Amino acid sequence: MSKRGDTSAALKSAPSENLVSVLKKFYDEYMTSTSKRLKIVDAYLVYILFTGVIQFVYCALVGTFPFNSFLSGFISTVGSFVLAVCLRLQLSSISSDRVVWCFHYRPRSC
Amino acid sequence: MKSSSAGWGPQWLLKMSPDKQDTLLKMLVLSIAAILSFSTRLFSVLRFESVIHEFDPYFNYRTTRYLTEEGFYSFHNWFDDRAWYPLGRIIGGTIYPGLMVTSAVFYHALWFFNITIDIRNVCVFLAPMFSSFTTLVTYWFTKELKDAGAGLVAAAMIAIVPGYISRSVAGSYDNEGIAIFCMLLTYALWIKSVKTGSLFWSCLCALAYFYMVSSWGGYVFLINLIPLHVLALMLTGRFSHRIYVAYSAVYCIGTILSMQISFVGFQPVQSSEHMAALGVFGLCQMHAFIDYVRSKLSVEQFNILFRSIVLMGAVVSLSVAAIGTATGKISPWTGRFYSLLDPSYAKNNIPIIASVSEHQPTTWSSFYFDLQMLTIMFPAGLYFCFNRLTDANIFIIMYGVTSIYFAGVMVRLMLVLAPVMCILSGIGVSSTLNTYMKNLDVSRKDKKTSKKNVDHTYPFKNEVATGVVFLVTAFLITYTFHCTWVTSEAYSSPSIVLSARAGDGGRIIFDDFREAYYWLRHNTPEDAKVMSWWDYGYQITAMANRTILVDNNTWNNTHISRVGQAMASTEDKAYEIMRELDVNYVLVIFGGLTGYSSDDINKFLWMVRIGGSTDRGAHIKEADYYTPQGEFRIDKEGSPTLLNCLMYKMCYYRFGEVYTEGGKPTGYDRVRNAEIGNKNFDLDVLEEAYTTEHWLVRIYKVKDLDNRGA
Repeated sequence: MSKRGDTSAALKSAPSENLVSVLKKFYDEYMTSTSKRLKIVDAYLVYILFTGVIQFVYCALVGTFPFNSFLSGFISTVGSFVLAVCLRLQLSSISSDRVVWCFHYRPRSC
Repeated sequence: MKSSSAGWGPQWLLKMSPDKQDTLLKMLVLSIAAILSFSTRLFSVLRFESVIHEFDPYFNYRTTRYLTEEGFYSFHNWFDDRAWYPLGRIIGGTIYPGLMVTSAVFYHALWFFNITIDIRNVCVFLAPMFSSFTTLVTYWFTKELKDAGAGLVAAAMIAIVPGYISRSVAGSYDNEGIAIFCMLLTYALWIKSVKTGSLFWSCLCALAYFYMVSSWGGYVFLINLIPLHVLALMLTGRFSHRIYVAYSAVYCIGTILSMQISFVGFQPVQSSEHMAALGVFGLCQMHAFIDYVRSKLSVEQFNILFRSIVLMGAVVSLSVAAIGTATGKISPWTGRFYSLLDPSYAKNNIPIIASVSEHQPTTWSSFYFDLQMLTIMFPAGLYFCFNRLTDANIFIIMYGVTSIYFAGVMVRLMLVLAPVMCILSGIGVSSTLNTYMKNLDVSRKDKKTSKKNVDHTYPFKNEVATGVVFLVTAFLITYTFHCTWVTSEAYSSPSIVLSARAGDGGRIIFDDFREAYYWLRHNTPEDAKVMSWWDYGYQITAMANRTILVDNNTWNNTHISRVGQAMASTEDKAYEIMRELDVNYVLVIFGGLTGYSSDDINKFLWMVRIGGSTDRGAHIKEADYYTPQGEFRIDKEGSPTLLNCLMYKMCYYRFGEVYTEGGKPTGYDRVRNAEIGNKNFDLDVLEEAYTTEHWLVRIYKVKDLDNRGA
């Protein structure tokens, strides 16, 4: 841990390496490197996330009656989110410009 | 190609290409295994008749009959007022309908083609038919895990393994008959979806999981094993987007579908037994997201981001879990499943769960009795799985280890262990034979030239290989003999019809149970209420068609305790309880004349324990029913409380005048091997209505109040 402490101390001296700058770097990297198709899917994912969060907050505020409705609405957002992520995985593995995402891919004979 | 005129002879077989020979051999072995699994379960049908066995299947049979007669809508909304008088039972919402719906589908399909098979026969033969399907699914499952050779061995083993036969014999019409098939189908589809990472197989797995949830309460095992597998894959660094796709699809679709069963209701999002699946689902999302972010950033930047997220996430999830459990939103583990983690819990706290003989811990002899050779080949299979670790093998290893633990806790769960034992033994046997058969030297003539790639690890390769092959064959043959013997002797008795050998070698059939139930059906009023111990409830409603107080569902402990108090009290106290519950007839099982040992006197101590476990039964203490030395005796030395209680009087009324064995006095109880202590007494509040031919079932009518009062 001490060796990493040295490098991080060296980096901390440079004022750019804190949480906010990391996030900004991530955002820049994302904007430049993902294709348009993937960005559309990502926008859809964010929209679904928002609908799920709104439903959950509403349920927490107002109460769970009728529980059936809350469950059906919430689970459908979760399910749509998951299916869209599966679509995104398929698209990003097809588009071979950045295969780095798949660095954990293991062939099925393994 | 078909030039030879010899036609269908051995030449035809040998002319086929090796692929076709291979396929033909596989199909032959599989069809023989499937037919074998069906036919080995038919012993009791051949010896007695096509009749439903035991207790629980009678309830399933009654509900299936109702479903085929009234339709699904009435079945789903059925409120039964003929059980648990005066409370009734909501049958539509408290059963797993998969078994009944499956039988009804088969029944209607057969009748559609004008094959008019009675519903009782459909029910009796459903379990053997599904065991044939299980054989085929096991072949496919093991083929996915290893290869076709292991699959064939596993299929042949599961066709005859006694641990599975015990709950799926012809006539045993219970949930487990189809549940094992559904479980293996779900697991096989899960492995397929883990290997391919395709949404198609994951959705099929979710549908199979829905079928499993509809058929058995043991689906909780699946919904905990699959997340455990995913967790193990994450910890060993094998998480990939295939696992993500497979688990997310299965969890989301499976949860929605499982909540369609009324009995399951909202449990998948509220009870602790399902929380592991939810937790792993969340973990899956986070892991995938972290992998994605990691691919975009450098190492140091990623570490900073990671540490802050982990801290935040841990704090949030811990607080949510604590609040949820504290406020009771997340219900704790129910008694049945908690006793799996802490085996002494049921014994100390819930007598009803502790009294069922199937819930006792398993003995070593049970393991050998039910599995024989598989107990030895199972570790070999585990070794071969560890040898070549894949995502799928990790699953079967975990399944094997967890089932061994649960089978050790409860005898009933031996059923869950049997399939995985067969699969792993199949893998073990097949791999062993593979390894050694390579060394078999078939060419007998040419001894002077040695093979090119001979390795000198040990001498006499050919002889050792032949020896090993013979040994394994001998093991498999003894396995077959053992399984058939066990099936024939131990697991093929219908329990409702007994048979014994008379002194002159002829067979005596004891059909007393059905005799008594049909007497009730024909000689009592339609709205008569019958009190008996809860074991016989299902049979009485199905065959005698009368209202009962308590039955095998045992959902209301207080009501059962009330019946226990009535059985354990004196006649006057019991009469108060019986008037309160509107009882018209009382039914007891008595084995003293025939030597039938599962009668009510042997179960009496459980009645005392359960009767004394609630408030109104606090005056009933178990110690009162023992002698001062602490023994349970029914002869003159027995405790006076025991000799004057209602159960004793009902069982031994007029028994004091009967000679049962040569050389013994009258009233000699052949089960307890003692002469009874309280003979020649009269009954005040009951009168004897019917005693069957061999005194196995005794029915008493409860007298009405006196005409003129005290």
